[in-house]
Amino acid sequence: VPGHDADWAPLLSRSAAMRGVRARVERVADTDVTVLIGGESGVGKEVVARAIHLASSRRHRPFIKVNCAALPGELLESELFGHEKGAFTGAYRRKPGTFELADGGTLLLDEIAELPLALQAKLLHVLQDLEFARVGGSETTTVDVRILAATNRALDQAVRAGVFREDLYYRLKVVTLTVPPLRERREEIPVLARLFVERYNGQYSRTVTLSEGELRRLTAHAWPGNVRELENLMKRMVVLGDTALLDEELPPGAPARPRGEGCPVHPAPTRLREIVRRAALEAERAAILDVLERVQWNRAEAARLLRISYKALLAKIDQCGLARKRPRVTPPTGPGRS
Amino acid sequence: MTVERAGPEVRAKQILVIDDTADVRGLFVDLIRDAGHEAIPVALAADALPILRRLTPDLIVLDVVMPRNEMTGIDLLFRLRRRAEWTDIPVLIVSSIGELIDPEIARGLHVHAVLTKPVSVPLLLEKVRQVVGP
Repeated sequence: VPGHDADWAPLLSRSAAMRGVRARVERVADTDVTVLIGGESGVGKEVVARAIHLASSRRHRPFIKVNCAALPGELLESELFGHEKGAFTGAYRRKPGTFELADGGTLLLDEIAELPLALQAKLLHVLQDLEFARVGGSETTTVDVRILAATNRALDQAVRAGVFREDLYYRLKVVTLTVPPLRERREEIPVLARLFVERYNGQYSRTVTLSEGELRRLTAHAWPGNVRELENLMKRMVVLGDTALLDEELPPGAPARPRGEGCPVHPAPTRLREIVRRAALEAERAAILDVLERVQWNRAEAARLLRISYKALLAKIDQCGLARKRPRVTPPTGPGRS
Repeated sequence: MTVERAGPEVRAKQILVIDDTADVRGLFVDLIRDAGHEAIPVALAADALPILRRLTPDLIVLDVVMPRNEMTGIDLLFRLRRRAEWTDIPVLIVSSIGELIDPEIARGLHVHAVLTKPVSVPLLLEKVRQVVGP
């Protein structure tokens, strides 16, 4: 496996949960079956996708990730499927899309729940017939691409809300690989923390070390932002050059809270500026969560109501470790027919 | 390919055996023939489509993983369920990734059972029997 061990951190652990994920990665890798990778933000879904790619016969060909939430519909369509010259204003030349660029390789469609309905139909067509037409073109192009999809949202809820096609949901969900949140595999936290500290010590020429007590505190934390949050904290700690940051971020005795039920509670901080900062964060988080719940997590609608950009909202959701409450499990009613 | 069909009361049950591994396909075909049924070997999922246009089998024993860039067994299954005349053809999935297939989705697609390779011969025959009878 190329790169630093920390690149593969989410997969390296010895916990039973992640052993199961690794075993599934190995089983599905050398097939062309579409896999839906689920799990909260920051658990390492992209790492799992890359591992599937690298363990497959496609490893010498491109691995391309497209974030379906990052672009508005018409740009995303052109990004994925390419366009012909003159397809729209500004299309001065023919441009291949990621389906063509990933030829022979693997395409990861991240945040698949955010794919606009019109593109869902086009994706379903690609999955069914392995061919598509560029924007503004009528000629179909066949592709040799393995498609992986990732989501931190419950797609069945998106189906019920009418924003995700049921037939595509069925098509994607046949083989699902769910990466568990970090709080459900706490035994990995010390290993991961040391790995990240070692990586950033090397990168920033530092010699920060974690004591046993600090590792225990890290292990007790809830990590609503999962492995990414742990990595970011370890990075900031190394950059600052000492572990005092942990006193601010992980106060002793702070209860480990499940995700989605509020930011970690801190004991009364002594500095006024800190009190104000945290109060503002808590207020912001509560307001965002309130709006998201009111609009059933339609993020575009929430961004409009909050009068911030869609991208800014996504960043806030990530920053605050917000996620929908665990959905009620209801059995599917039947396959989508077309 | 010509398939002779006798009257419904006497004809042997027709079972399509789709598996890209020749040894496995041969073994399944032998087992099914020994059980008194007609087995039609098919190497690739895509090869099943022209056959299905000519005959409606009583069961399809379906592998999932196919060679790279070939239609997978899952692809074929969705195609079957999109066409009215193929919707009710019973399917038995026998695959190395059988246990990774979402059981609820499989039920929703009217898959009789999903077995994981290596499969036990008595279990395979039992599942075949459940669909086509003794």
